Amino acid sequence: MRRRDFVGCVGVGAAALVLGRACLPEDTVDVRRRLLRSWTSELAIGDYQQLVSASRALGARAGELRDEGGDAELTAARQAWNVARAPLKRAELFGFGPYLEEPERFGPKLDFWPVRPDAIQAVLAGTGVLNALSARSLGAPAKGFPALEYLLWEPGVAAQDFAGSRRGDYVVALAAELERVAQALLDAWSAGFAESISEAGESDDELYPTLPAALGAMVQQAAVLIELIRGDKLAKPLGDSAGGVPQPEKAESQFSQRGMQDILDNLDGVRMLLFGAESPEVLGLSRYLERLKPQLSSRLRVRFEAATAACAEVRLPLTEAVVRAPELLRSAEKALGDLQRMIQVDVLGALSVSVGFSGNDGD
Amino acid sequence: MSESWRARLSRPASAAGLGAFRALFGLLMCFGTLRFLARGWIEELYVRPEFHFSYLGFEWLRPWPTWGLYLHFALMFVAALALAVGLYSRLSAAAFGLLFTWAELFDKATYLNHYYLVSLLALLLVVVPCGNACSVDSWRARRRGEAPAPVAWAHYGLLRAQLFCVYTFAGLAKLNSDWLLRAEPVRGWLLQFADWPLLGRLFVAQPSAFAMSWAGALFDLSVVPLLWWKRTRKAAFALALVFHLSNWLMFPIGIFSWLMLVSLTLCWDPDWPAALLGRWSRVPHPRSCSRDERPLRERSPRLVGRTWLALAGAYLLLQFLLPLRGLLYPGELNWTEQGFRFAWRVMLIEKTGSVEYEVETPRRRFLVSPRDELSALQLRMLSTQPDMIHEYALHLARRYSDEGPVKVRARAYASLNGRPSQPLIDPEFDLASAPLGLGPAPYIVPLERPGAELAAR
Repeated sequence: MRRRDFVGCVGVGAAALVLGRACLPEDTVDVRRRLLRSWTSELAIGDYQQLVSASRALGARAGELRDEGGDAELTAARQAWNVARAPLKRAELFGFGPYLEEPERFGPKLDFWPVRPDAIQAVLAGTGVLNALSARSLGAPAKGFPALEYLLWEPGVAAQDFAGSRRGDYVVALAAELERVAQALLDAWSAGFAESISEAGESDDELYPTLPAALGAMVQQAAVLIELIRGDKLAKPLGDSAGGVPQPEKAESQFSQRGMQDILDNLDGVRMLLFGAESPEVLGLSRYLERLKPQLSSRLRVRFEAATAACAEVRLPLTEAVVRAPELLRSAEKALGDLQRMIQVDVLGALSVSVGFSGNDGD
Repeated sequence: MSESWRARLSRPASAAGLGAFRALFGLLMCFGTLRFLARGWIEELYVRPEFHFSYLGFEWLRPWPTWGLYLHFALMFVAALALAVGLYSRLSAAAFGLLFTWAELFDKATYLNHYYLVSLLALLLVVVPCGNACSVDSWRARRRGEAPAPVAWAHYGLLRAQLFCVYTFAGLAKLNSDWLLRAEPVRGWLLQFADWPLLGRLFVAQPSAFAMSWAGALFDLSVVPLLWWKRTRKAAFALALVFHLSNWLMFPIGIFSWLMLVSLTLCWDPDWPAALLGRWSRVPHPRSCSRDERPLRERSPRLVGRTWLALAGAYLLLQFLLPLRGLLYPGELNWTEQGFRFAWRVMLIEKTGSVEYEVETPRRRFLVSPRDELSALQLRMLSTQPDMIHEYALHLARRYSDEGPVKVRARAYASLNGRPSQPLIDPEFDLASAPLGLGPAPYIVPLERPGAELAAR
């Protein structure tokens, strides 16, 4: 072969490879792309849409409570708070990006906990105007779901304390602020953040340089959330870092006694990411995993069910369970640890995303 | 060494090939440095993490403050640019090598085989006359009326031997049961491409994984000799081109493929730039890059000194021995990773892990997640590498030392090449009680299934 021919062949080959890279991946057939699109649009955006509408309903109930101040209105407001809480906890799986990062950092504005009663009492004791506008400038400990929870469930407070009072104004202002922040979070996801995940590797967006990296990061989020449940939601109230002395005041949703339900809602979000939902639009990772390692997919389901069952076994409110049934919480913590490990080690291993997984070059 | 060998190694060769390599390497490093800055890796890898993993003996070396880091990388870019154009070539190589290596030493978690190779190549460019052609240095020398200086075959030989080490040890590392008998981790990697049209089905077929595994090992073991031998050089380079470009297309391995392709030009005829420019561009090639000097045999050879040869020999011996140190440690090397770094174990394993620590003080016993103060990259590296797990445990022991004697145990699990997860670290071992060192780590749990087994997928 003459040199000219050789270099020509090499050039054509190289060009074919480069062109191949641009042409080969087809979004329409790649199940990983479909998973990411489903998770971002159906789970994250879907839950945030529900959060916005539930927050709006909560605002309406808060207004009625301030205007009427009856027991029925208080019960309705509490119920609305509970309803709005569910999509937030399901979507805690997506507690990164605009939820966590500056400048938006919507997370603490929505869900700063453990609650700091002093911060809320200071606002109640103040004399400044309390409305939707002024609520924007409140610090994270004085607003969001936990502050609202404290106001609605504070021991010794009756329904009439809300009627035409500063407490009533505060609840209305916080509900309006909640809706505003939830809407802003939804907008952030809808306006491009969701796409930066689902279309990873297709543009210069460097959040996730490749499709496998985005998939791996999303699955890792499930493990991160489970770690958060174990460390912050169970171990802290159990008093692990306080020499074993229970710390019920460190429990999530301690006034409404929704702590364990919060965890179950968290796991519901993980369930949908891993196994999908009844709706055909919500695809689960198992759909992809079954192709890679069918046995692992079924083992994952067994372990997930075991962890969920262990959490559901705790029938007492979390603040009571840490004192009266710590062994059940320990058992739930262990089952969750097993699930977390399987996701982090076996599932991510099966996805083979370790080369260049972080965005930095691999090997 | 006999005088005949010394004379043989001192034979003059065209400086063009070495000059072209220096220029291409410098340009690649310019690109690499800009890419590092543009991707925000300074912030992600060095600024945000609150803790950095150290190499043994370099614990004193810490990342600069943010402005210092940017200055460091700016200087690195300038040095790479100077190297590319051949301005004070050897000094530029030294400056670039020092700055690059310094940055690599900031954090062990950022270790990459090709970053290590960059450091070594920069060092070698300091000790060979890399600025004798295709450079501002040679242009200035000609303006001063100095005759262009050739380089010795030994200079090419040293660089080629370095590449030989890289490929050969990379190939030898692949001669294990996972790679050859289970086609792991290639099989797992190929499954990622199952949805590619046309090629997807081919990739997921079991024979494809075996073919690619075996071909990869054979390629690594044979490419340098095949490139060295003139009769197979063209075919070998075509093979290398396909191999490295397909790796680049399929895996996010950054500049690694390009670094290897640029390096492989060292195995060509040293006169290749002149030949290429003369035949293909039809433009007069630069004097310094060409056969513009007298025929080699007429030049007065500049012999390489005995000291140079002795030091080069010692360097190559070290390069030969360093990758073999893993044999001194008990257990499966890909699992224990003792002797894994600086050993050219490139794209060899798929390993995932998780780790959390149980800290026990006289007052309390609690779990600590390293996630709070580590970056995603650090966390991923930590979760599978026992020495890093140990180092972080010692960090935790220091953090809680004001509560009295501290015990730190790791709950670490990992999976290697598709095996089910298993403990990586003995959960009862107090890591705080063991100092860091080069000896065998007593806390690593042996790999439970080291043999070749074809797990059902």
